[in-house]
Amino acid sequence: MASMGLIFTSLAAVGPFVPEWGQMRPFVGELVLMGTIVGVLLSAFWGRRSNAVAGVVSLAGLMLAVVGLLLVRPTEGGEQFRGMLVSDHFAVLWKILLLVFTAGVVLMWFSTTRVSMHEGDGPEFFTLLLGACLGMCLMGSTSNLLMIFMAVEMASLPSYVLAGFRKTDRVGSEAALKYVLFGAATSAVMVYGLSMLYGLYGTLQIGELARRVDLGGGVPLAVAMVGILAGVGFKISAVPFHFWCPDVFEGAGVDVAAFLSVASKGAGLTLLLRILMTIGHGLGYAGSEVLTSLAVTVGVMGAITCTVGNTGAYVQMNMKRLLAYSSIAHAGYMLCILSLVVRGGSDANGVMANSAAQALLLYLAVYLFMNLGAFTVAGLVQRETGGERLEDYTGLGRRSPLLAVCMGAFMFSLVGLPPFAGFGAKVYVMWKLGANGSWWWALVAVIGVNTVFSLYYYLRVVRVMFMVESEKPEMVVSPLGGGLALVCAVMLLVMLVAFEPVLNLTGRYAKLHLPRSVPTGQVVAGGL
Amino acid sequence: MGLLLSITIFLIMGVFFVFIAMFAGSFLRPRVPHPEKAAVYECGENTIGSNWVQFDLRFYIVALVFLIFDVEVALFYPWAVAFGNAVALAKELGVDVFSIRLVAVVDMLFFFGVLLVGFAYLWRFGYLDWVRSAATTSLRVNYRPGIDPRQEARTDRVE
Amino acid sequence: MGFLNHWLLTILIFLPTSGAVLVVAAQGRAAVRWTALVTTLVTFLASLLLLVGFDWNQGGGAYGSTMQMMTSVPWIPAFHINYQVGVDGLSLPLVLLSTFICLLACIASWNIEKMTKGYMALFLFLETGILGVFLSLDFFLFYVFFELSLLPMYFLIGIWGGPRKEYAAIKFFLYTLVGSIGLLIVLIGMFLFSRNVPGLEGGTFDLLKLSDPAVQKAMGGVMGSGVIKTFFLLAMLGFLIKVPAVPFHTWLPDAHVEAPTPISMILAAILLKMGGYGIFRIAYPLFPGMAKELWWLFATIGVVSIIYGALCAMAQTDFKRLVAYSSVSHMGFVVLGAAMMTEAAVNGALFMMVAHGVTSAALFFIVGVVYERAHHREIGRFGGLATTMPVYTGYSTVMFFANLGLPGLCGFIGEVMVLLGSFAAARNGSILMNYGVGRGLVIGFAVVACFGVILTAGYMLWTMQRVFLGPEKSEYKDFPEVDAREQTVLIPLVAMAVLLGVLPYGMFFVFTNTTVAGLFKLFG
Repeated sequence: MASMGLIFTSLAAVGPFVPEWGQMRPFVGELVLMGTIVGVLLSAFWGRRSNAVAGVVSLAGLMLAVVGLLLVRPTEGGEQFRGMLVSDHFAVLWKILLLVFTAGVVLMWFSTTRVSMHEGDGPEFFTLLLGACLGMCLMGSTSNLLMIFMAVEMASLPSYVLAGFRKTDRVGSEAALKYVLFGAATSAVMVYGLSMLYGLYGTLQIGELARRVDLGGGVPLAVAMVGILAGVGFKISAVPFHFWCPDVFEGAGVDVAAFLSVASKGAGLTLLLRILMTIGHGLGYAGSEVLTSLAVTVGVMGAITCTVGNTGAYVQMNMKRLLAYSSIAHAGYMLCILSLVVRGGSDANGVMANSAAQALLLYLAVYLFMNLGAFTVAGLVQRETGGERLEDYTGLGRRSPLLAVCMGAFMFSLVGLPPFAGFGAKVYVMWKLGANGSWWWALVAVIGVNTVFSLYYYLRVVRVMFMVESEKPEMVVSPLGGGLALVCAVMLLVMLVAFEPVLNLTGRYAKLHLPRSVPTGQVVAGGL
Repeated sequence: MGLLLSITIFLIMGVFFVFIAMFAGSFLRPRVPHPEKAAVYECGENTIGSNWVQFDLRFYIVALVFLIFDVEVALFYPWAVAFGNAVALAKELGVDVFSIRLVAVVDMLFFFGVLLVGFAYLWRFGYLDWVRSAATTSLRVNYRPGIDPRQEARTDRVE
Repeated sequence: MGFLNHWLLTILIFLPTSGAVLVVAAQGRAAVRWTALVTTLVTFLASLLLLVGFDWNQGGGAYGSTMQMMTSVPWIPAFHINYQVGVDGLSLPLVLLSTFICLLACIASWNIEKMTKGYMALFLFLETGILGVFLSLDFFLFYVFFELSLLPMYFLIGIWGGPRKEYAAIKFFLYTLVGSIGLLIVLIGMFLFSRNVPGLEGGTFDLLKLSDPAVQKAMGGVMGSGVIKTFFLLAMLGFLIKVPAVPFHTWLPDAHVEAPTPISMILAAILLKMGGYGIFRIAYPLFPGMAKELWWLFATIGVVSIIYGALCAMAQTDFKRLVAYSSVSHMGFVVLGAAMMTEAAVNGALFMMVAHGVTSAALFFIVGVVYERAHHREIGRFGGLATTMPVYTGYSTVMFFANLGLPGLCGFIGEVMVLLGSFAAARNGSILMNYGVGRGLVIGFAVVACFGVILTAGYMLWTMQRVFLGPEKSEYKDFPEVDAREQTVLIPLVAMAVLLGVLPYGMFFVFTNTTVAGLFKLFG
């Protein structure tokens, strides 16, 4: 409490914050999202709490936010609001990806779970969805200890409710409870870690804090770092904080599962990337022990995570659980990318770190379409047959060739096979890890071996769809749902054929604002 | 660093003394077990049923609404402190007093407005009614194609 | 001609894909079949155009100089990945073989009734993948096509296969993917290390540049022999699984037994050649030093494949499994030929690939013909087919003899060239002798491989006797003779077997000679 009081007094000493439009502009996405949340709630008063109206309003808001972000020149950002938030290229692209993905989830809701949702729950559902989305946007653009905690909680709390949104569903309720307990425990550990950091170095800005790391930290610093890793690892579902993932995915609606699979992990990873890079930059990448041990921890965590995810998926008979383990595995691959951050300064230009951000953005951009598509198909199958077990997919190749072919594409893309963009993304990751040399080659090997592991269970889905005969009747697929799945599949093809533009785009946006000494410095392009 | 060390030592000693007391007690006290001693303490009355009862969920909603407005009030303090001396502040920043005041009002109205919309939503749709229909469910009652997860046994789970 | 010279290969690669799109759009089973047939036919005819445009005498100097009709378009410029295709003496015969066998396999697929549209579409995608592998000159592109050919194959075995199709399909996929991942690591590694070469600062995937001795010398300094050895072994692993060589061969019998006849034809005739081609196009040119150092390993693998494959074939009771093991044995000659590193042996290995492509496709089709009538493949239950189906027996006899290496037929040339080349490796001045290898060891390998020829003759003749000769059996009495469609498949194959056996130079070595000579400049 004393420290809180301290912050308030210090704020009062410099006077109140008077925002200007120039400062708000980079955060147009968050602002529009806030407006949309209010709009969704207000729509209930006129639209008789119509689910569809709420959905349309949130879709429109998300689109507006994307357009607003596209108009923003990220260079005008930098640290804003006294360093509470950061706006840079990296954050902008992450937000665009997240908002596009959330819009996809809303479309998916229209085609899948809308029929099963009680009329009148829509406004609440979309308020929560957008609220979580807002929190995840913030996670992507902060390197302030307080804001980190705020953003993580803002993303988590609506997620808990979303997981248990089907109140009468026992499985869902159990999952939600598990999620809450797990989340509460990890965020408690994180807040402990954050407070240790503040206690050790007396600042809330990670950039400033990193400069003081060399003052020594020892065990308390390690404990603090473990705390942060726990809190963020929970969002990423990194081993050993992954236990909630399969249960929540199984218990929650398919749209919520899809949302969590990409948005939650992506937000956690972008946050972790920013934290690590800010620390690295503050330390000058001087091969410091703190940084190296962080890299090793993250890399090892990634290797273990993808292995656990892939082996856990073997025995799953439930589609959503299978996809949950698959998403754990992919989180592992992305964690491996983060271990690159540390070598940022190996050449003075920080090129490596820059490419870690690029690899992460690239992987997320591809991963988004794979998972959105796979969950859409899962939702459509569930809507038509009422089941989500693998046996409900038998003979899908005959019952609905479109869905089956799309699902096949998503599965192969998740394995990382050409001609789908999953291949490009995976190769790019391996490539970047290999380019770093030394023990990063071990990570390359781990990813390679894991690809072989994962082939088996992804192919099991394909096998069930195409090679197991079934008497089940043909499926009628709504044009919206089928179209969404098809668009995702086509996107995956296009993104590999046109890999260069994707690379260029992510490359252009892979720049982080990393304050070194002055809180309001110029944009440092990955240390350029 | 020294502060942190002393806090750590303090914590460790605190935990240590709890256990010291318990251990010492278990060695010193006489052991006379009796079923009466294991009974729930009810001021001499015989216990009726279990004390593990489900608390009425409606209390939680009220508590949550209270909490939100409580936090809001908490925000008023720093707001008031920060904007309290608008005149002095305007002089210091070299801007119009009115614009500072405007910012202050808009700031709080923004925050308060969002809360009010939520509150209106709760009120309008009956979340604050003490007596309301128990049939609030998230699943459409007449939903057809067998999704009803209540009937979905969890046979498919493999741990 | 200029246009064709530039784009013929690209047209060739993507013709089947566009055919597949048409197949998907086509209505009705007949339309689907005819579209597919016309596509494969057009592709075959287009591949014959290669013969017109190919300059047989070009080059003669360095390894890359024989490369023709090259097209290079930037694909992912950020990483210097190009869409780069070209054809030379190594790939030309295999391209022709592929389009030829695909055409025949398409005819052989005429009786596929289940989901014809899907089958034909996947079949044509497979052809694109195959042609892409043989024609691409960019390591990345090669890998993409290498993987691309896996997907359709998985479905073709898994959906249209026999009783244990799923097991066979996933086994095939897993085995090959293990190899591919190794290849992927090599690919990434070579790119990364090539960045250290002066003049290639951005790194390169160009296979011709990577096999340039000067480039290798520069890269070798950075990589160190341990890394080079690891990479070479990983690449070889990928290709040896595909070949398949003992001990990585176990997917092959399963895949063959379960796959439908036309797919078995393609699998044996073309897909296995992708492994052999990879050895000659990638593993050896990129790591010539290691190829010399580890020659004993691959000679051993080759000889063991020859002998073990033949012995296994002898023990089979299932006709198709027998042919599958015979493939293992024959592909062993390819590995041995590569390991021995003499011009005769390498030429023989290349010839063996084409010859085996012809004979194995024919043999699998022959098995398919009899399976369609008898609905079993038990060798022991057959007998006396010569009386019932004399024409069929005639074709079969030619192909059996071609397979066991009777002079005048295609199998003979390949085996003899490899064996002669192996003995030649023991002569003074050969690459292996110059490297300081024990003469006795080389001769030992060659002698053991010779026994493979005898074993091959043994099991082929024994099978011949059990299936076709002997008294006529009553249950096979009313088997119809091979019909017109089946003859359409068999006659070209028989003709090719004879032509390759009689005119090996005009049909084959005229293409490969200069390229192989260039290849040897790398080893020298």
